[in-house]
Amino acid sequence: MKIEQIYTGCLAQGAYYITSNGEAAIIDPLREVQPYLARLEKDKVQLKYIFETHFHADFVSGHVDLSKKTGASIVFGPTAVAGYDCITAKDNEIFIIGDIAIKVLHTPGHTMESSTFLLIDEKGKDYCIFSGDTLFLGDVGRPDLAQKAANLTKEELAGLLYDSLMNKIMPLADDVIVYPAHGAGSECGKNMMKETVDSLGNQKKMNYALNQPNRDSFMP
Amino acid sequence: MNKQGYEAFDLVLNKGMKALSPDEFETFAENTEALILDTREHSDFYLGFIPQSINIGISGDFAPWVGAMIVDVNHPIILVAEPGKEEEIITRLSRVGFDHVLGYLAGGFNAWMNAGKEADTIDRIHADAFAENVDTKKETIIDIRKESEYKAEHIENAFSKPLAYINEWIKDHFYIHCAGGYRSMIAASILQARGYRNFTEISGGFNAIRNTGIPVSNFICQSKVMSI
Repeated sequence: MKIEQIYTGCLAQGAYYITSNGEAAIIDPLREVQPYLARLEKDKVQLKYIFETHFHADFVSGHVDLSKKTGASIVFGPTAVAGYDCITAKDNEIFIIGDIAIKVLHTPGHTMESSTFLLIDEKGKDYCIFSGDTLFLGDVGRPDLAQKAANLTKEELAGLLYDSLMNKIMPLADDVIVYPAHGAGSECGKNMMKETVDSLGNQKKMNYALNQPNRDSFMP
Repeated sequence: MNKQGYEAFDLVLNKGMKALSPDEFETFAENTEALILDTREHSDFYLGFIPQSINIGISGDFAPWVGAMIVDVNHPIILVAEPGKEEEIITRLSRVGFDHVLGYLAGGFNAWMNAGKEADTIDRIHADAFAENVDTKKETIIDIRKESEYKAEHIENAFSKPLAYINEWIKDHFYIHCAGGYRSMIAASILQARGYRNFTEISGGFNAIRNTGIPVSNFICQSKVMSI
């Protein structure tokens, strides 16, 4: 298994390239797909899935081009409806890539279709999460951006985000690695750390959003 | 765009990689609504640029500033760039949804000058000369950094008008600065394209101003005054 974080400073955005036993997956690719095609070629692996943690509002993703060029399936979380062919995954649905698996954890809040992808390694152990704009390092995604699209208030979205974090993320083990979709400098959050990778255990300790006593204190 | 799909990136790149001679570029600028986007460093831009062009340098937070400054993602754009940088620029524009680059100035700004075309400049003063020659109590000074940066530390008597809100400006002469010159050159180019010429832009920005004798406010850590 190989996981590569492809971080673009200008957009403070992290895309992820994963390979295992001849197959590959890409999470939240940027618009220009040549760099990913070059990696697939070099590693001689077949791209099987393109995962999107949510419909990004701050950059154009390369999922559609990448799918056309490789034949890989695009996977979104539950409730997503798109204008092109894609798989709308069920909560807890599992996708196999070589000897590893990606489990979809539906974590609505930042947007309704927002999902966190849990990578389970060759030994069946929870290895890392690709947390999109649900959990950042030091912060969480803003719940005020999707109000119109979801037809919900920011308080309602924040409530969903709180439940997602408490019920889906907090139960995971401390040694699970967190790979977020954005780092410091992005408009998608305000208190983000300068690091681009951390353990979930450390986030449980230091991230204010994971340390609220109840739903009310979490409100924006 | 992520939800409905979009034009293939290869097509966007092909369309944008059209080399325009200075004559063609000028005709394009005059006969279409295309915006002239000059992506060179602010330190090159102020010395000479195509009238009406806007400077957003490729070496700064380019894509986010393009998104903040150019309201319509479908606005046609023609580029002035360091020769060889065009593909990178079109790529970085398309990452944030600006798919309508219609071409670039072949040979860059030098080709424009060699063709004897008209150029404009920005009135720029270095922070040291500014400190020496300008009475900061009498002049109008506009700090275009974010509100949190302004609150952290600023020139005494300076006004705060963050770059993101460039739409209401004043008529009397003023000086503008940001932290280092990147954002103030974006502001200067946009103001000048809109007909404002009543200002001087301070090179070196606050980072240089801090090292002159200009009175500044007491420093407060920016994280304490953080507001998105």
